[in-house]
Amino acid sequence: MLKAANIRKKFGGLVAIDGVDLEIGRGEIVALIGPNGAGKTTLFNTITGVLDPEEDTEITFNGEDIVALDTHEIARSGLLRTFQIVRVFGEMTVFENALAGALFGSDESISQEEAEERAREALAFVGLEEKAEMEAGNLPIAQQKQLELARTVASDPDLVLLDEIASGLTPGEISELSNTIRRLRDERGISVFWIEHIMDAIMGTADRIIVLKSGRKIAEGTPEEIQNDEAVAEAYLGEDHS
Amino acid sequence: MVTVSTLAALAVDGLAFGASLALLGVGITLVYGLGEVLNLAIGAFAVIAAITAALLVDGGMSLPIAILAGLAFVGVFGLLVDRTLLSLVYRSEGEERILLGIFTTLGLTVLLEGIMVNYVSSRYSLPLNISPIDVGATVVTGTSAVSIVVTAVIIAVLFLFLNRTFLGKATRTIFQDERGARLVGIDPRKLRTLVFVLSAVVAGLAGILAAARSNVSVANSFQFTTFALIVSIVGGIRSLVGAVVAGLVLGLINTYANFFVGSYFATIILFGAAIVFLLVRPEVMSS
Amino acid sequence: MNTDRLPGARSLALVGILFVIAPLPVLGSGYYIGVLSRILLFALFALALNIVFGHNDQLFLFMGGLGGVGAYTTALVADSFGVTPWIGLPVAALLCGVIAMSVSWVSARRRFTVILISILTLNLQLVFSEAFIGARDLTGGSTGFPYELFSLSGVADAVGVPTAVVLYYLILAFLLAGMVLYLWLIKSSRYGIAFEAIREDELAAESIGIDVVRYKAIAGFIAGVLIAIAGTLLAREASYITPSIFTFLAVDVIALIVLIVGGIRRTYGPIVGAIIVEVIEAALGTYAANWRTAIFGGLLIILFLYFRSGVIVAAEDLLEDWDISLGGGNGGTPTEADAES
Ligand SMILES: Nc1ncnc2c1ncn2[C@@H]1O[C@H](COP(=O)(O)OP(=O)(O)OP(=O)(O)O)[C@@H](O)[C@H]1O
Ligand SMILES: [Mg+2]
Repeated sequence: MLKAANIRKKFGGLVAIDGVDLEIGRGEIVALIGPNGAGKTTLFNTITGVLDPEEDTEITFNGEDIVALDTHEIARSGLLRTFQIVRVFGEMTVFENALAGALFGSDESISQEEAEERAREALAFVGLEEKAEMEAGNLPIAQQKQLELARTVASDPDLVLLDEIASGLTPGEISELSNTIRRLRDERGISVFWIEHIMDAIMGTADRIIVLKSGRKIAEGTPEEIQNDEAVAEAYLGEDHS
Repeated sequence: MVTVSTLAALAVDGLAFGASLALLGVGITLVYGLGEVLNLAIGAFAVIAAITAALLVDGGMSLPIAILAGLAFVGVFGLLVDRTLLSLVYRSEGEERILLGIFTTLGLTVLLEGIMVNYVSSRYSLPLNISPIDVGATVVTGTSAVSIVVTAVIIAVLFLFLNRTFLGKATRTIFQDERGARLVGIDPRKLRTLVFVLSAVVAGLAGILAAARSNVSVANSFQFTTFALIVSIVGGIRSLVGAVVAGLVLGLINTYANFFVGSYFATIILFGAAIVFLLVRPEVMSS
Repeated sequence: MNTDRLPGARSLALVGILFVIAPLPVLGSGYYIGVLSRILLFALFALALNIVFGHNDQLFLFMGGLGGVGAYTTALVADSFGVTPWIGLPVAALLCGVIAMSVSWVSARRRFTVILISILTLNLQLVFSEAFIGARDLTGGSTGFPYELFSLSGVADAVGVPTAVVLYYLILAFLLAGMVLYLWLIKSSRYGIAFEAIREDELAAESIGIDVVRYKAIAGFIAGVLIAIAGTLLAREASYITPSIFTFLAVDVIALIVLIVGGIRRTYGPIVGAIIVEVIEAALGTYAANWRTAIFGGLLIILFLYFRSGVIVAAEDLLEDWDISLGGGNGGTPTEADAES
């Protein structure tokens, strides 16, 4: 579904992403880990068109070349994302946030009623239906993160990119979140590409893990393989990762 | 047929006009660079200095003293504005501050114009009474020549101040890095006050030179402000050298355009230049 | 059922009726009709600004210039093609809409901040002002020309009221149409949600599929159309068109004050603000006309430093501090209350 070859992104002299190849299949949950500053968020920004990659980068989504597309076009083709530092629309209600996702996130033009239905459904999916009329900015951060997820779900995406959605949550909340992410795939058929520092959150959930360091992919495999990978252990040793 | 000597005389007049533009541009650039306040009242400062000096001359004061008094007056006035209005503006940060700065100084210029028209509603001039100077076949008006020389001296002094003195270096440090400046023990707020007063005086000089070349009225305030704005757009809002060069070039273009295609079109060319620069290089206006 | 489709339709109808009967006690007084007309005109300018600046963060500072382009175009089209100004006006509105849309489009494409847009449009304002004076063949230069379009006096004679009264109702019709457009656009269409998303967080808006450039351009177009209509009616109200009607100080500064006084992003902010500002202006006209400019300058400073959310909101906050409740509760506009139901 998402296929990328030789993703490269430079900031001036700094090569933030240095020739990464990756593929996310339909119905897969893939985790992306790596020390701070490895380039994970930059990789998401490059895929979603927030940043323009270097010349020879190839990214296709559902067979369509998306390198030259604008961010909103990529979103409408079914590739949605959340942000490391949560970005809900704070002055809108929780429901309006989800409604915005439903109205604009997909290519088909959907009616107001249908969009409202999808928004309600998405809020119920993450368990926020009780808070629908609250102002989003007044939610605790953990729930704002769930709302961001609901906003992507409301648009009925094929693939969501989640950027550290579990950080700052309590262990109880984390297992609930992991559960929600599995349901995302099982009940809705949405594939997930998931940046996470918290290993407990991904170990039981991810089918596959990609490890990034200094802009390069240094390992890829099942959670068990990654846990036993020497290069990965080395990458994290000395790096004071949280 | 336009003779070479006419073209040369125009060049001198253009540079003289450009000198005023450069001063205005420097005035706006100094303040924006240091505190991100786009001073839309700068034209009113120019007018205040010119009218004060003209009134003092009318009252019997000698021209040089009156000019100095006009500059001092606008300097003190600048100090007052800085301690009151701008203190309120500096309480906010980032884009908020820029927007607040635009609106308060816009309000200030409207307020000042509104007050001044009630008391000083005629046109004021400050004739220097210098006879034309013959340079070969070209006759150069004395006032233009003086404008250029005075501006050159003032700008040179300003650059020396910024490059050679401790205060000046401190100012330039904040220009580049406010937090860094704080770390080495410089109080940005004090320097902002100093620089704002400096910019008021520099703008005042531009107004006085304009009054010396022809005349100045209250209605010119906003026009001066827009000139300053154009210069800083073309020269880059954070570049003093840019402001000087842009001021001189635009002064030349405007004077030639005035002569060949008429004054309205000449003004439109100025604004058009600003618009083109904004569209082509918007980054010069951002931080 | 019908009011459900347009939230706030009932309150708007009420406001409309109030404005319809407002001139009845003063039908004979050209002065009061003039004040009422100016309230509507500046409410219309502020309405445009509310859409494009309030809801879209695009600070247009060329409303005077754009309004002037609208007014001159209406007259020139009517004159040079020998058609009725009722054809000239839509042409002018379309032209101004396209100009404003282009400005918005370019600014959005180039990711201009609100400050850059304000500086860009201020420069455009000055170009327009200069062009109105300079293009003497078209505009009559600074002396201008009589502006008595739309054959209102014929209607006035037939009904038996002064022409100014007919003009008042014409302006009212346009303002109410503008308000209906606003209610639909902001309160009940997907544009409202898109605008709000863009205003709060452009990147988040883009990443959920909102075409930021397109929506900003649309907001610019709508504002341009409204400004062209307001400008044309402003010249008609003066019965004479000169460049001085359309300067930055005469239009933009006042419209900005109106919007901020009334409360940015509030449905009736432009109308409330216009009433307050025009009443101040009328009071000054009698006692201290010379101080008008100074007072508006001072007002601009105080408003932006202390009352950025509008005097109504500030007054409500004050009342709340004193623990006095305003009947309906937390002081939303009638529209917001309606939208709930
Ligand atoms: N817009 C930018 N301009 C310049 N450099 C940037 C920019 N964004 C990121 N970088 C740099 O690129 C590198 C990768 O940053 P990135 O945010 O992608 O890391 P990350 O893996 O997401 O880290 P973290 O786990 O802390 O979120 C860092 O060195 C960072 O400083
Ligand atoms: Mg990151």
